[in-house]
Amino acid sequence: MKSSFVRLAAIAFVVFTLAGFWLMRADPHTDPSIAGSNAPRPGLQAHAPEPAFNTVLQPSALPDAGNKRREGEPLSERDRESILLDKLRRMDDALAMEVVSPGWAAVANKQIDLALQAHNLKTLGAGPPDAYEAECRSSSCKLSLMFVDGSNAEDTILALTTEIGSMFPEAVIVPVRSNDGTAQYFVYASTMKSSKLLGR
Amino acid sequence: MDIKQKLLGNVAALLLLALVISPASALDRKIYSPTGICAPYTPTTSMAELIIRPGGITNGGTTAEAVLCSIPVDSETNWTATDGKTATIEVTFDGGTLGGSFVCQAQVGSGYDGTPAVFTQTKTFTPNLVDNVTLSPVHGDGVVRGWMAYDPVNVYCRIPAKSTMLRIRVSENGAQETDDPAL
Repeated sequence: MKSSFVRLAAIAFVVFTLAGFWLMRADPHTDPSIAGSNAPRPGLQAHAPEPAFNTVLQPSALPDAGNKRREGEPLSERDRESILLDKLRRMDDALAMEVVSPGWAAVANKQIDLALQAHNLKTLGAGPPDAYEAECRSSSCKLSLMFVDGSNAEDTILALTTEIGSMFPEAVIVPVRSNDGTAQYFVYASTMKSSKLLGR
Repeated sequence: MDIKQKLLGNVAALLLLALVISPASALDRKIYSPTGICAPYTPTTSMAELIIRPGGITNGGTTAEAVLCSIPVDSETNWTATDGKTATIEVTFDGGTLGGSFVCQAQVGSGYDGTPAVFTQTKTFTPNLVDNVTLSPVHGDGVVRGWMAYDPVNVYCRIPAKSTMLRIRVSENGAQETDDPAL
């Protein structure tokens, strides 16, 4: 009886060890060679199939351009632009799915206006954008900020996101710079932590 | 022992083995002194406006100053909120004689990644209170590549007048991290 139990335990140990290794290998978040597979991930919006992890991105691969690239991989300005446009499209799609709550949107807009007032930004060493608009729905806002001189825009974005941080703990920043020195920043801010709006 | 008891015993043994073998979530925790990894947020804050001592970084002036800290990250996995593999960054302050409003922001990603994700926390301290500003969960989901393992992480904090930034604690949460049960 005792020996059969030991035998059974030994077999179970081997089986579970092998199963454990197999499961670890299959985790797309821990194995870069698998991370770019076309397997859908739970909780993420369905999009076109993702490229293989080691695929060098080309503009022709635009629908998938927002996904993973190999560490240190060269990135041309054109590829970069494609990636950013793809990211913008994904987040715009996610934002459009949110219902609009007029009352909440008004409060959120007011908070953003306050944060962007010149005297508030000045104390943080930043200047206001030359133009901005905010689109708020029921838990998220998209801010579009235009800077004629984009050299100090990063300070303004940092000041803005920290000022509205008590209302919007998470945000993603999408900078679009032009050769003429102007810069446009898009800030997608969410009141929810781990918001799907900001997901990949 | 009848056959039913034997079967129950075997099932229990199998369950125990499965529990032992299955990968569990673990926390890799590290503590940093801000004196080594933080710099003044220029040009609004200069080194002369900060008092840097082994005990921390103190703002001896009369207005808030800011620092930017580069956080060493050695995650063994890719950080994503989708499956709860994220990080927590706690910044500990001594509110000093005045207290005030403390704010920190973690930024995951850089210009290379194109779309940094930011995580912000604001907390009000009463005078002489030692407490944390906690940024959690921090992850790389918003970043274009979305892999925190590749992305630099910076923390920006505003230090109110007469207060001190004491330490930064980083907890990386993932199945393959090395657990630190003592912390």
